Amino acid sequence: MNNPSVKNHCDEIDQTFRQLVKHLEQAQKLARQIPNQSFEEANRSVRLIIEEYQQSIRQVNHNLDLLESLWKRALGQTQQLSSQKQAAKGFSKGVAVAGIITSLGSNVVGSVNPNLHTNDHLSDSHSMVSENNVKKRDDQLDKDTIARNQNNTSQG
Amino acid sequence: MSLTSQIAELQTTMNQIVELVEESRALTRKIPDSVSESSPKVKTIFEMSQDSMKKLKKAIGQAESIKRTLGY
Repeated sequence: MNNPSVKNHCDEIDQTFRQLVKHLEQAQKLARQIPNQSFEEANRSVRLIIEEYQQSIRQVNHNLDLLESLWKRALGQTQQLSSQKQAAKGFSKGVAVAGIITSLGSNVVGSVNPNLHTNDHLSDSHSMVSENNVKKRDDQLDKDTIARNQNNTSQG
Repeated sequence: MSLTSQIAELQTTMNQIVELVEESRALTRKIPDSVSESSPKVKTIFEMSQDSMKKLKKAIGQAESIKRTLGY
């Protein structure tokens, strides 16, 4: 590590990501409970999911600010990183058309779709998928860096 | 769309968000290892965070839709 400012920024961004993951996992947990809940309980769960996601949006915004600071102050980049930031912040809240309840029973779903529970295993595989995706992105970034260095060398 | 399908769609969006955030976090941890090559990584994380933001807003829309289906 040769730049404490970069490390401080990255630590703070990582910390925010960690909190963000907790909110997201809590929302996932709430969503898994919905099929077995009464309408009132399900409504409360959905309300809590929305709150968790609103909090998550604030944390992503915080990280976008931190990334911008890292980009400009710690890395000394002059080119704009935030050109699309306002567009992301102002992204209009899309609301899908309400569906129609096709099954009613003692709980909100009646007969529970088994697919609803097949996502449970995904949380365990997230890390592996992430690692693979990061590796792919790293490889691409390495290629970009090599190409840029070759270009700079040929120009120099 | 049935309530079951709506919940399944919300869960799919949720999984995509978690995956994006975990990828972003993993990439963030790699930045201090090589500061000279960190700029492209920062740009990638920034773009992934913007994607996460869009998906979070989509998930809120899906959750609000479920609320209406529940009659609230």
